[in-house]
Amino acid sequence: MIYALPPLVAEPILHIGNFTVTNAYINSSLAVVVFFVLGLILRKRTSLVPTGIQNFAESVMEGVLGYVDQVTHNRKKSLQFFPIVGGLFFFILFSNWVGLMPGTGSIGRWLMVHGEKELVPLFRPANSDLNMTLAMAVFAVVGSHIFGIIAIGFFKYFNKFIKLWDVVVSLKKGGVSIMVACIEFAVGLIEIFSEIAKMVSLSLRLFGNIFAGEVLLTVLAGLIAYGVPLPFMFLELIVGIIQATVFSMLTLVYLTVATTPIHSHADSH
Amino acid sequence: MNETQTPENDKKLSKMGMLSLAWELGYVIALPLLFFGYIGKWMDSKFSTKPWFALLGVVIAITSTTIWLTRKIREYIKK
Repeated sequence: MIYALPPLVAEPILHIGNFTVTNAYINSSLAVVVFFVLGLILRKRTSLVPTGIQNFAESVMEGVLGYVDQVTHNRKKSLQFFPIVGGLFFFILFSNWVGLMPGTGSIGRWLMVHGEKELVPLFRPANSDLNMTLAMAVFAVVGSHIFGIIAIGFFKYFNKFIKLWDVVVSLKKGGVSIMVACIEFAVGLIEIFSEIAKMVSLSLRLFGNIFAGEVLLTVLAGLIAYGVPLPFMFLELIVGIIQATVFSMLTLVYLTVATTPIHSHADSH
Repeated sequence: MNETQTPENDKKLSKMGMLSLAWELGYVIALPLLFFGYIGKWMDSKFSTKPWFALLGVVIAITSTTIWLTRKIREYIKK
C-alpha cells in the first residue's frame, strides 16, 4: 500500500546543517511565504479606491475586526489584538486548507524509515505536528500575560497567581484569616495550573482535529478511492475553519480577560 | 467606540470564557492532583513517612481545585 497512515510525529525530509526540515515544517513555511508575498503585493498596490485583491483583503479584514470588536468592545484594544488574533486565524486557516490540496500525503521521497524503504510525504498539514500547535498556544497564553502585565502593572497581576500580598495582610489581622490566606494561596496556585491547562487544551485540540482528519481521509481513500472521500473532505474544510476560529477566538478572550482590571478576593472577605 | 464594559457586552466574553473553562476543565482537575501528589510522594521518600505527605498533597489539590472551581463558576453564573 502506498498510502501509509501518517505517523504521530512529523517525519524529517532533509537536513540543512544541523537543522532538520520535516514535512510539516515545509507546509508551515509555505504558509509564511504566501502571506509574506501577499503582504508585499498589498503594500505596493494600495490605492484609495480598492480594486481586486486589495478590495478582498480589506473586506476580510473589516469582517474579522468586527468580530474582534464584539468581544473587546473597545476599538483601541481591538486594533492592539487584531494583528495577533487575525494572524493566528489566517495562518491556521490557510495551513488547514492547504493540507487538503491534492499532493499532500501522496507526493514524497522514498527514504529509509526504521530499516524499510518508505514513501515519506513531502507535505503534511502544518497543524498535524504537535510542536507547531504547542508553539502557537504557548505564544498565545504568554502573549496574554505580557499584555496583562502592561495593562495592569506587574505586582497587581502577579498577585493574581502568587497571593503573597493576601498573606501579608492576613498576618496583620491574625487568627482565622491566616488560614484563609493559606487556602487562598493554594487557590492562586491552581490559577497557574489553569494557565498550563489553557496551553495544553489549545494545542491538543487543534493538533487532534487536524491529525484525525488526515488519518480519516487516508483511511477512506484506502478503502474506496473515488467519490466516497468527497463528503469527508468537505467536512475537513468545515473543521479547518472551525478550529481556526476557536483557536483565535479563545486567544482573543484570554487577551481581553488578562487586560481587564482584577478585583481581589481579599477585599470581599 | 469608547471604553464601555456594560453587562450587555460582557455576556459574549463570559460565554466564550465559560466555553474555554469547559474545555480545559479536565486538565485543571488532573494537573494539580499529579503535581501535589508527586511532591508529596517525593517528600515521603525523603523523610520515609510513607503515605502521609502524598495524602496531604492530594487533599490540598482537591480542596484548592474545588474552591477555585466553585468561585469561577459562581462568577460566571452572576454575569
